[in-house]
Amino acid sequence: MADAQLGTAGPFPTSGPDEDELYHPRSWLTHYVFSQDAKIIAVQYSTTALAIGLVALVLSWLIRLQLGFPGLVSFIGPAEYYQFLTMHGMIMVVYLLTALFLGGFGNYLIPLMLGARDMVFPYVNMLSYWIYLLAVLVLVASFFAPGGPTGAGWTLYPPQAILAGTPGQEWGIVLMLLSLILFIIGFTMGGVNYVVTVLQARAPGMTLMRMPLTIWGIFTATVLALLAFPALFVGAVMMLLDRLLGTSFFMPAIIEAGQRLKYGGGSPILFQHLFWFFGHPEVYIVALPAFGIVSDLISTHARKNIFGYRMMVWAIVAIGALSFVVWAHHMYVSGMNPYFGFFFATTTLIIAIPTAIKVYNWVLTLWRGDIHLTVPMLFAIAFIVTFLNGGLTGLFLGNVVVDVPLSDTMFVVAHFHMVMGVAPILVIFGGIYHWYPKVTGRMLDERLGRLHFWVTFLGAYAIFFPLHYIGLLGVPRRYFEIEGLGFVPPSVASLNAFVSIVAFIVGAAQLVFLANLARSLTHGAPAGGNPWRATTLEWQTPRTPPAHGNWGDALPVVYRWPYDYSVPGADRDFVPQNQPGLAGAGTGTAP
Amino acid sequence: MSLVLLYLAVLGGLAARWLSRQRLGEKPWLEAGPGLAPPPPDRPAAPAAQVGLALFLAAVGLLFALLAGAHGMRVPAGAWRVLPDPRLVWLATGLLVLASAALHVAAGAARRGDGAGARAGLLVAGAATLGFLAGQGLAWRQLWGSGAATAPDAAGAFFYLITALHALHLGGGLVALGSVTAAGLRGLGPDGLHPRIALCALYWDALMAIWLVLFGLLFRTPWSGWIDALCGPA
Amino acid sequence: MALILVLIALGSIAFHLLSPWWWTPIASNWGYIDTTLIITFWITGIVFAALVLFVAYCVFRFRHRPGSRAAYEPENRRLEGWLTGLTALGVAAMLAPGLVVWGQFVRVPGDATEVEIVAQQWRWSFRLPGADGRLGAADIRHVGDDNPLGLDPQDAAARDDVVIDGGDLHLPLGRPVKVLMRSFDVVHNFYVPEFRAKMDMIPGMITYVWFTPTRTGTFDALCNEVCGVNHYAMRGRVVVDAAPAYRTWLDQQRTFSQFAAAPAGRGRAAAPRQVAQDR
Repeated sequence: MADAQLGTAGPFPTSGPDEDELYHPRSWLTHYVFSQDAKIIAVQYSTTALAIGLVALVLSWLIRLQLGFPGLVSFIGPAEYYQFLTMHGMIMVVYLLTALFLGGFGNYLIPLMLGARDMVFPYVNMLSYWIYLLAVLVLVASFFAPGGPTGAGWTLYPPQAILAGTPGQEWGIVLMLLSLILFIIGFTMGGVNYVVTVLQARAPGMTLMRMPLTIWGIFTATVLALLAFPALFVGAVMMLLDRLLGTSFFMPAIIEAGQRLKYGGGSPILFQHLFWFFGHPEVYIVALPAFGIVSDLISTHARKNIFGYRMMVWAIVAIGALSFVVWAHHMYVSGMNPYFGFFFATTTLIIAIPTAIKVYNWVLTLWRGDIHLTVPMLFAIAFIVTFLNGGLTGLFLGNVVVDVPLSDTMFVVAHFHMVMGVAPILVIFGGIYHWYPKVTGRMLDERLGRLHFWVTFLGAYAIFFPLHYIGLLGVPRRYFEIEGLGFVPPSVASLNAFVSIVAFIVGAAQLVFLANLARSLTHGAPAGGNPWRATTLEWQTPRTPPAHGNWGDALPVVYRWPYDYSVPGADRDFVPQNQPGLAGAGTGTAP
Repeated sequence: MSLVLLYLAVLGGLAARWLSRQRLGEKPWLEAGPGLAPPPPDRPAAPAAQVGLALFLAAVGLLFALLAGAHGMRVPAGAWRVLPDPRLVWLATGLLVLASAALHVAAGAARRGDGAGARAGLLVAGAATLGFLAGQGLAWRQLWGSGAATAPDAAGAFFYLITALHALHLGGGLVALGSVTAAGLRGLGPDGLHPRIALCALYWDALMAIWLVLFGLLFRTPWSGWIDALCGPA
Repeated sequence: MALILVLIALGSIAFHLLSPWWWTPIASNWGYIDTTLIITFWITGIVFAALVLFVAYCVFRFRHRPGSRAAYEPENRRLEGWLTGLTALGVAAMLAPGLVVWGQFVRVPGDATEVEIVAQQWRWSFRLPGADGRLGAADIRHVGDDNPLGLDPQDAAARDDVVIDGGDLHLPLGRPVKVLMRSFDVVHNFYVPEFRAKMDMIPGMITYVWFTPTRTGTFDALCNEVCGVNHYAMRGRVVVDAAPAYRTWLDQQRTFSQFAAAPAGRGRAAAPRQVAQDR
């Protein structure tokens, strides 16, 4: 690509599909259902992800019901407990977080923030969503299959996952693996699309270093996902063959219930390597978009440029690259060659450095800012706290010896819920409160938003912070009940009851959020084009919600980076990216 | 596992080379100001479809690299190197190379405006690819019934899995090649054909490169030693 | 918001100090692991409190007031350089002791006695070396009713091995043990919180871990890698005895050859299996 040069004025050729190339819906069905418009696909992805996320939320209630009040209800036996646990984890990580950040936020924001008319391959984009939906339906089908969904834990370790001692061995595991394979195929279609759009469809003047950090995060995460999902694909296909055709990729010689099975020679650790080769980048597939979005939220609502933009970009790229050489830190006590521990502990703790830089820069963006405590900003600040907490406990688990006593205890559960559950979900909420006005043209209700925020943030912190300590005590994860363990004092049961009650309240608070989403669609205050007075391109569209093709007659031309807030000499405290000078309304700036 | 890491390192190198040209060191805030003209847009050198396909193939390549790595960790060294008639597999490999070359010839012909040459190249490529698939099918049949699929060393299972996934990959390409050929035979001119043939040529290059690695992994070839060294247990 | 953030920082510290839940009293030589953990707690605790309090201060001090405007400061290389350097230092301060202790963790002392733990859904069995001081060969192929651990009947070293099928594991106080681990079916993990050390047991391979018991007593062992529907019920007990008591106990155990002669009276834990079939 040609180096950008300054000072050459002149007419700019429009990149991206021209108006006549753009796909045009011909009927209601192709407009709203089989739509190829990235904005519609984004809404489809988001609602599907939130819907299946609600299922996972209910499952978490049931898990907490058992942990907090063992034996209270009769319909949760050990088998059901493990099934709920497995499906909760898998849905949250893959079908909610990955799909919502990349399929939802990615589809909506990539074309709009870059000044493109749409994704580069709209048809493939549509297919991507429908395959995702199919994957979700296959997953849901496993609840109704004979024997129920798989209860192997979301890590699906063989041989356990496909043996009779695990619930859902008949159909559940097969459907789970099929669903993952479908998800990966669908995601790859979408992912290629997002990357090519970022590479090739940017508006004139939008150099890489003028991209908002949201796009940097989503872009890097998508590249990671394209390279990480093949490992899960390979693992899932091989396990499916072991289960259905009796091959022995992962299955060693096994005696089950006194019977020799026909398997032999396979390597269970091989699956763990494949799983975590996917699984660790997956953490960053979720985290990097969250990093990007939270950077933009903080900058916009503190009316200050993001501190150290270059460092932020470099850190995203560095984290992305490093995330491929840390996977075995999930396997310190897996029986792999123990000398790997030295290498993986070192890489894991090195990755903490760029991550820490990002935290400092968010905090330093607040310093001497003009902080508007809007609902999106509240969520962004809460993200800093929970992410900081979860990131720091990651230093315990990444440091190989410290991980030995803590692995597979509630400490791990608390850590990853804080860092990859609560923190990204707070960003998702913040992002929805921030962009809902652009998607619908109406603001979400502020009071309900604050109620939702406080209950969610404080509740989630109260749930997961104490759990670290019972993990330190040695309470294991994935235990249906912990009665009869000598080292567990009775006070743990009271704590579990408390945590469960808080979890029910936090879960109920999400209903407030859903009600807010539904009600504001028709009753929210009209938002105008740019309610947050933000600089990035999606707020400068000629119409709100943006029309098909996004930009009317001419593509926007980008004159500056996305963080010109409170620039000395400018007449307003923000200068949109498509405004040539410091003063006055630029082209296409909505009033 | 080394093969996987090497592959990632190559991709990382390409990404780094590309990033290094994106002026990531610039201070974007200094370039704003009155009278500043936006830089000329980065005119993409390659069409979007080409870039998208290359990305997809990079992911597919990693998938096969992971399979090869898994093979190295799972199958004991020298357990099984086999069994279908080697002449048959060499012949099939030759056909795949021929198909890839024919597509390049076809792309060149289309670029020069030689519609007939392009069509001929497409037909040769299609026929050679079908020949490759037929060879694979025969190899499968020779193995069938030998019980290799569920043998404890998993070499047979890997053979079936890897060749099946490769055939699936190839089948996807054949659908595209078929549609291009059909369009060519229906009279689409060389200008319209060229971008599509170029995509097919890229796809077949990847098919061939992946197959050569898999061939070295599954059979005894002059370069098998290299593959073994790279795929061995880490 | 600012007030709440202060409360979160102080509340977290207070919880840390006052919480009744802390690690179990250690019963092995891995006090170094606890030390590394404490170092990590100090460093991360300070960082956490400092950053959250700083955010609280910013939220309070720089909250929006009519007419206020943010400062314009795109970056500050010196500050960023300092922060990066300090972070690297803090990370090194945690990593270095961690790696040193890991070095000890993976190197088994030469005088360690071998002990074997065998896991299957959902119970533990144990094997101790006999008079010859070493464990004989074993393979899953040899498993049968009179040979629950699959010892090789041809191997002389195996015949005098002490087989404990259904009882507690006893270990002598103050002697390093290298625990070899096998599994017959799925991945398990033998975890005694008081010992700190643990390792997965993988079917088809032998993993190991070593430690020295430093305190007598009876400790609960549990499975710590999800292994099927009765994972939570897969418990065991380890008893650490002083030398005389250990001798007495050991003399009461049966060797493999005795076991093969009279396989009766083995208390196979059939109950968990029953639960699985009731589903």
